[in-house]
Amino acid sequence: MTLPRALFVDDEPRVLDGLRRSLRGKRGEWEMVFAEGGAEALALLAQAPFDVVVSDMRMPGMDGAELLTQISKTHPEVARVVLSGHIEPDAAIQVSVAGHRFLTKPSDAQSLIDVIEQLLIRTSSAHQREARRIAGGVRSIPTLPEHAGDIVALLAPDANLSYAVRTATHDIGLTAKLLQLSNSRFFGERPRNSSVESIVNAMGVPMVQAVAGAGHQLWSPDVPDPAIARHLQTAWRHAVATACLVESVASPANRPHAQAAALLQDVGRLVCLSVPAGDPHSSIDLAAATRDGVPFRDVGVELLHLWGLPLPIVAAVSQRDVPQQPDASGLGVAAAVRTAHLLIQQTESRDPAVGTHEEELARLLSHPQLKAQGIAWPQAAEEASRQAGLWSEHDKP
Amino acid sequence: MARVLVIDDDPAIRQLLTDVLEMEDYEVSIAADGLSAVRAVEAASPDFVVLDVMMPGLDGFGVLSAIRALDGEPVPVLMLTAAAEPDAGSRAWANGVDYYLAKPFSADTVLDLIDRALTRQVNVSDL
Amino acid sequence: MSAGIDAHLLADSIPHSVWVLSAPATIDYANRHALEHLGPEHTDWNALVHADDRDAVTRDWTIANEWECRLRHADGSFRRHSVRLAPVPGGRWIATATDISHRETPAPPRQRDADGPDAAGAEEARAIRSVVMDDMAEGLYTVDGAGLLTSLNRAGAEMLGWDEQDLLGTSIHAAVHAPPPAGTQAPEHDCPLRENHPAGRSGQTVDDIFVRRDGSTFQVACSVAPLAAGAATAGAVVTFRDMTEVRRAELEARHDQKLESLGRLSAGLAHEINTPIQFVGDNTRFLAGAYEDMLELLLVYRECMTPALGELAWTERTQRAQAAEAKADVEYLATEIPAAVSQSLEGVDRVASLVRAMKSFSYKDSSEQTYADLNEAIRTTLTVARNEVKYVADVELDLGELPDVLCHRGDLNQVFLNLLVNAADALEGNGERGEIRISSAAVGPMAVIRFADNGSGIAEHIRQSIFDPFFTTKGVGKGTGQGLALARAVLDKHGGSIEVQSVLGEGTEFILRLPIDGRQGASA
Repeated sequence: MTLPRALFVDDEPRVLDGLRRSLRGKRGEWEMVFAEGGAEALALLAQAPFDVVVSDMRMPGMDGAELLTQISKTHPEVARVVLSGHIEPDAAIQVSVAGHRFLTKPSDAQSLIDVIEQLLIRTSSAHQREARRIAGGVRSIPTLPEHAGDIVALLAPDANLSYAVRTATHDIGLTAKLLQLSNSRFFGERPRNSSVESIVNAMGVPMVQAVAGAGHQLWSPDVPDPAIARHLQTAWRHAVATACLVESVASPANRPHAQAAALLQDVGRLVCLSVPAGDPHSSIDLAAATRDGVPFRDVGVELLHLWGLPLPIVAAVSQRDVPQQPDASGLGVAAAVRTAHLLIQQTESRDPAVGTHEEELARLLSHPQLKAQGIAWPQAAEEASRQAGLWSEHDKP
Repeated sequence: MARVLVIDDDPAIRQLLTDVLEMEDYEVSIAADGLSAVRAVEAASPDFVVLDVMMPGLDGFGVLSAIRALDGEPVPVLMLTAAAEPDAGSRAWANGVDYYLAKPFSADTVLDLIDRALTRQVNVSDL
Repeated sequence: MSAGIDAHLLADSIPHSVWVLSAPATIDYANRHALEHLGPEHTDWNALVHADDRDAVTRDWTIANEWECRLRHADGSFRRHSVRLAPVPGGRWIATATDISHRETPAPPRQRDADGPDAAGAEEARAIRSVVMDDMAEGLYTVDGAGLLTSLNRAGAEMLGWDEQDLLGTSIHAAVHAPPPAGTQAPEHDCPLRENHPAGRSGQTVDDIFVRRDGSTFQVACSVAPLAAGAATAGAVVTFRDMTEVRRAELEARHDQKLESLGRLSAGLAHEINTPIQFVGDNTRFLAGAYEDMLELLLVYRECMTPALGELAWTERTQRAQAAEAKADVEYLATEIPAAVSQSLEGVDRVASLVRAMKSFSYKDSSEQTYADLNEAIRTTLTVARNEVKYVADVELDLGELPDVLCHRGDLNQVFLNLLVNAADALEGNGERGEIRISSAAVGPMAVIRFADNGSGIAEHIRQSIFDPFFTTKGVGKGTGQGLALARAVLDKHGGSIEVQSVLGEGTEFILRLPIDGRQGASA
């Protein structure tokens, strides 16, 4: 069995030597190669496959952002780690769409080892390589064309904090990107539980604008196939409704993760369907919800995993279609998301592709945590659905 | 290292939980009554709080409201209650705990619960 | 020949004032017009002259025969007269005066202050002058030809802590020029304020330090102008401004600019520090593990060597030893451990020298000049800015023998930084690595420092403007255009110069010159 292969790129030979020595303990588990610059790295990648690349940003000739962008196109299945000293804010934005994970220098060997070990895990058990290939190439998750106006308004100089929060919490791509970046010290200290709102507060509007702008630039305004557009809009409305409702379902400390997981529950679908029309390399099966044979969900989970989102979020997204049997001690995140999802299935915002599972829903609603809330759940679900509908309405031209 | 705050007036419980959690590399701090508990939450910013409902002075629910009133994102709270109280559970949920266990409980259950809540136990490969 | 008419009758019928005067100005005879209009009481003709005009009259008496001045009328008012003087044999003069006060335009005043046509006007003019003098923010004083104070305005009195009365008639130099701590007061004729009087030049601005009455000192900028050109008694008017605040604000602004450019460098500096820290940390961790491995191996050896093993065969021992060696990978350790140690020490050195350079660079100047090693300053600047330069150019240093130069080291550091960063920016778009050459040499009394790059050069028509403040060809956020303007200001302050030579397509060179022993005659 061949060992996983890791490629380390830095213009300073001393740094490469140091990495080589401190990672010596892994030499039995990984094959490690050290390259002194982007050109050498690309040449090595062309010769033999790698699983992970770890690169510095500030390098002469081809800088790290350029290198990783190139790799995302030619070798999307390679996980990309940025390892760099301080970065200027405008450069940080380029970097934010180039890598999967971000580490600041100086970083200790154990942190780097932890990240690499995580990235060597592939979440899709049945489609390890394909799911990684599709998810790995994603640099930014697109906004639905109907909502592009919201992002453009966010980029305006007079956009204020509350507008930024509202926009971020209704945009799947921006939520995912902010959660990804908040894990790294590059973009500011991370608040403990990382609700999107507290991340926006911590980063500040200008940084959020820059991040949104960087992602926005990567997508063309072309309207995709109308059938697909409607499909995505339905999925979006379902996600927003679920996120709105789960606030009442989840317990206080679990709310931030539950809301994020609810909004991101169909990120895989969004990513898989947002390919340029007529791309000869990919085949989409809407009925089976697969792309190139890989279930949308697997792609979504792999993406969130690559981006290093908190585990409870990744787990809840992964288990959205798995019947939940929560312990009496509490729903936690996944069961809360599942409950909210099933409640929304009873409303206009339902996802037509999946069933309603009324029995399971009844069982979940009888959990002491939910009974004690004294909430009329069907009405609450209707209200959440209505809110989600209104939000999409205001975007209509 | 993740920090757990154990709030219980019963020294036996405090000791039991401290031992079990510290063995699993948690950093444990303790408080024996409500008032010092609230101060401890403010000062130490724990990642998880284990809270007994029955305590002298400010009782568990009082502590819970006080904790929830603090600035910042809500800290996960596990409330422990005596099984004899029939409605303790629903009262706990209604007051906004995240987890709830009735006594008697095993320390391993608590450990398991904390591991899951702080996502130590769930490996990505288990998904 | 007389026409047979009495001379007195003749004189009395003339409708102008006529006198016969003998030295110095005694009236021997006054005709009727004079007596009626100008009053009979005077024997001193000068007494008839308006006080303000007396100096001029005295002067004009000796050099001219005709002038205008104000004469006192019998009713006490003063009127302008045209006076003519004719000498007669016997050492006397005949003076005639004609009332010209009705004429529209008066003759140009012979004195600085404006003449009113009458006493009220004169009073008004004096009032205006007082207001002007007293309300102006600058200090103003006048001295006579001997350097003795003749007037001091209110601002001046406030700044100096003296009342005008106290200093009138005393040497102003003695009052305002402090004896230096270690010596005696500079002699009067060396006082820079005195320099300007006789030559008749005006408008020179001199930096100086004045002493207040209470002994405290403050920096001033003075401007000296002669008061009465060409007269026997020369005087001067001196205006001065308290420059303490201004100088301090200037220093702050320069310091801010320096911190600002350090800010620009901060991303690069952070990178330059984090990079060595990264590999020093990694190497140290490696060394810790390597030590464990080596120790383990040593223990196996020791064990193999103990007599306590007794009958254990030699082959068995060597097998164990070899197995342990393989496990430890001794060859690897033997090469890597020394390398890890030396590279780590190198990394520590890099950080230390960078921090030293940063400290040295951001040193806040006082207003005093000191002697500094400019080659060292150039090297320091290069270290601090290395990250800005290293990706785009190779830097070649050709630093000659240069004695220490009297200068404001912090300001020059800033200038070097600006030139270096400019050169790097110019070379950035070029694709291939450029070259920057910095050279220094002593040429006679001057230190000459050159910054040359092989970039695309500066076009002729731009070359004129590059030293203008706010002129920049760089994009937004990449330089405010202050760098070269500051450089020029700094070199001027040092009594030096900066010039640019450039050939389009070949490169650009900035040449700085400054006197090794500081600006001549400059105050500290």
